[in-house]
Amino acid sequence: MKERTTPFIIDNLRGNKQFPTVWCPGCGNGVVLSSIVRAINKLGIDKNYVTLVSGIGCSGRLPAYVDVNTVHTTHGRALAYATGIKLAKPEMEVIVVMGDGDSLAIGGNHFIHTARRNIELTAIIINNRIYGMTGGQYSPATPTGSISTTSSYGNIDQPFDISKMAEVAGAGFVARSTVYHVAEVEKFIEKGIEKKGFSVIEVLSNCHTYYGRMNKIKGPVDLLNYFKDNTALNTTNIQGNEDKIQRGIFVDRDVRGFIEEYENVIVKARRQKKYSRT
Amino acid sequence: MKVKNIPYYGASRIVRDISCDIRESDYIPAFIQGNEACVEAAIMANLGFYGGYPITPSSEIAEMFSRRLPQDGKVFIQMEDEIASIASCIGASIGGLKSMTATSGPGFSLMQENIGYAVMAEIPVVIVDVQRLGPSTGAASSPAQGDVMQARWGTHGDHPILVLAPGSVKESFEMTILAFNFAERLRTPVIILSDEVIGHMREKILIPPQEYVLIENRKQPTERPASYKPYSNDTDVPPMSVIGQGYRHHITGLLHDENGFPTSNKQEINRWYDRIYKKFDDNIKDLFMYDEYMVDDAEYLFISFGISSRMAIKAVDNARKEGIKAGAVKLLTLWPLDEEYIASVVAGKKLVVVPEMNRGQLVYDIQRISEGKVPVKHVGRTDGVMIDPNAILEAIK
Amino acid sequence: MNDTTEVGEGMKRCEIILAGIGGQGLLLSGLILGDSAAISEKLYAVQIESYAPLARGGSSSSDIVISDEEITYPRIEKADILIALASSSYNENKHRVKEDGVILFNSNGGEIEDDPRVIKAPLTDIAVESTKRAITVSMVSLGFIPYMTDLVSMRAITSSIARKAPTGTAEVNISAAEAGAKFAEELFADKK
Repeated sequence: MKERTTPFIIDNLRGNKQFPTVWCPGCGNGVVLSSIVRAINKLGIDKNYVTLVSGIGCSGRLPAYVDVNTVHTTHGRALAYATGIKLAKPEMEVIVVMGDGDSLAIGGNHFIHTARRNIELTAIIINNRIYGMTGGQYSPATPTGSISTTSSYGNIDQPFDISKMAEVAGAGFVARSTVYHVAEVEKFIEKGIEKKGFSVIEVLSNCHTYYGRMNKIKGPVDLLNYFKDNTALNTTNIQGNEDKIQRGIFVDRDVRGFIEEYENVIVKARRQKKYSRT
Repeated sequence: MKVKNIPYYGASRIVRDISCDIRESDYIPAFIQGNEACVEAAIMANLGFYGGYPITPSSEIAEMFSRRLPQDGKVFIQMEDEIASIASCIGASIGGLKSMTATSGPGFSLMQENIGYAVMAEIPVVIVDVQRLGPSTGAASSPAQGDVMQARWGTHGDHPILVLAPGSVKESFEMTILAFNFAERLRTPVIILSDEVIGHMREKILIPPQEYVLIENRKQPTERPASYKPYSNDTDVPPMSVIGQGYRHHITGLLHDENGFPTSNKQEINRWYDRIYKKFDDNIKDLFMYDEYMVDDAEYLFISFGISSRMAIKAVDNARKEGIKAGAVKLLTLWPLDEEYIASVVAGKKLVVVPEMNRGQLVYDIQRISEGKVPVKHVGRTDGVMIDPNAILEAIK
Repeated sequence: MNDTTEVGEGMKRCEIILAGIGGQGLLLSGLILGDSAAISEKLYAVQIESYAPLARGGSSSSDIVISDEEITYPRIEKADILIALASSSYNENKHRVKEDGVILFNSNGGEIEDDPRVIKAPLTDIAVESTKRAITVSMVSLGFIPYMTDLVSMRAITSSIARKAPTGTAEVNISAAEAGAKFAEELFADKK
């Protein structure tokens, strides 16, 4: 095992970056990081043609460790930056990593509009249902009733269903898994990258430091077990699983992506070019 | 025959070789709006990406780009708001394209955080703010010059910024070319502070042929990826790699070390700060552009910018008719100010007047630089009407 | 007839206001007048539009300064010429015109007070007669310009219309301007 893992790490993570990561021990972000790296590798994409973009929060720190082009942008705006990067370099695989607060609260508008455009990006939303970096405040994905440092009496908001929202907003590919289901996450990311339009992969993740501690699911193992026991693959028998969180691929449709459509705009514009300056 | 008024602002110029014979017949005359001139200049500067959101009085810029850019295979995208607009522009610039957005007050406010990102990550981008009247929604199609301080200090934290202020359609063209050149040369966001009058006013300009126009592009690294430092402190402006060329470095809005990785090391932070200020300080004579009108023997001086500078020049003419020795300085660069120049030009004047269409913004810096040695007065208005030259003249009587 | 102001060392400056109500095609005619001076006549011109927020029905005007030198001061101090397409346009702008200026008033646009500066012509009637479209009224008024200032010729105006009018409308706009010019020729011949 060690013989295989070490060169893989050297090849794909940044040697000049200090490890361990900034994340708490046992954080689910590491699972997502390694899944992304393995998916890129499996697809055999040249590292120079991958750009990893993030916003702000614990997830925002993820790209810095990976030896590809990496851009750590502002809170909530990662998809807007990524849109510019992708349009400037259409040949680039642009993968955007965001948290639930990052992508759904401050970045919620960018999220639905990026889905509406169905632009050729892959968005990975690490949903730990809390603001971790700032100390455990409730997020738009925090379940109703949950305790956070800003909902001491229980959260009264309804949580967003990220995957459903991505679906209705127009994303070409939408899938959900959890950090317990590592192989599944990797597979979905791989499929998402391969998909032409906008792909959204929601990964339920554990923040035992804040969400778990305040909501009585104490350690990382407890949270991983929670994901194991409380989720069900959407292709399995639904009987007995009605109350569980669904995992799986929810949307996989062929809708023309923004860049594909823009090529047509260029063709039309060139045809109609008859500009006189005076 | 040589053309009159070839723009020459210090060492910064848009025309390639000042001494070569440029024939007037090579220039294309156009009767266009300031906003249109911005578009023509940006296209000449090889703009590759425009991301914007409609807002009066800047919308013509987006409309024209939406027609023109796809014709050249370039990118136009209408984003969901101004925050996304500036973010997409910075992204496109990271992708190697010259990029631009245009907006007005409310949208300019929304862009501020990400302008700070462009400062921090040293990404070239050009932002046009066609100023309109008032805070909040204000008056959408009324002119004002109320964003002087927002342009300077709109984003949080200490930072240098370059702000250019055209006062005519011709200057809208020239300042746009120069904005791209400075942005590329210094790896910095550049703000063009236009206003509703300049944006919508039509004037005759002579558009220079493309081959005469001096276009600068960002310096790209020549060293091997292993030894490339995207934020090297060995030079004021480190070369900027384009993604996809093998450099694979990190870009962040966090304070960072020479490799671009987050740092909390005080020395590294100080070195970064020193360098980004130094690149402005060392180039102040190039960056600071102005025009003087009858300044040599002037006892009274009007310092202004944008559309108000033309009112100031008219006030000088009126004053001279009455035998009053007045002169005017038109600032084409609002920030950074060349304080040495301002101090020298105000020295010995009986009175300095700063006409601007606001309740007092630029005037405070002129007062500060004058150190109380020369009285400095403000003439302003905030009702969407250009300053009356007589009001400027009244101020010195 | 020449209302152009001689300024300084032989510099010529002419200030023109085109005023009407929204929907009379004023912004296009302002652009064309400026363009015909700046491009066709190789002079200098500045044009500033002002309009009510409503595209139709509100007051609308275009201020044009024409000069044979580069124009520093873009505003109209006292206009040499006002073209008022409606009585409200006359009332709003009459104080901005020189005492010896000329005001062309559209007599189809309502009633106005007695004013020695005013020349009346049924501009809307001419528009409808020549093009069957009332919206060409402002183009009709441009046909009067060469008879009010020597800085802009009819040829310059028609060449600017040909270049600047929206696709497919050049012909109808030129007809309107020429109908205006024809009326003006007779009108100003009578005045002389």
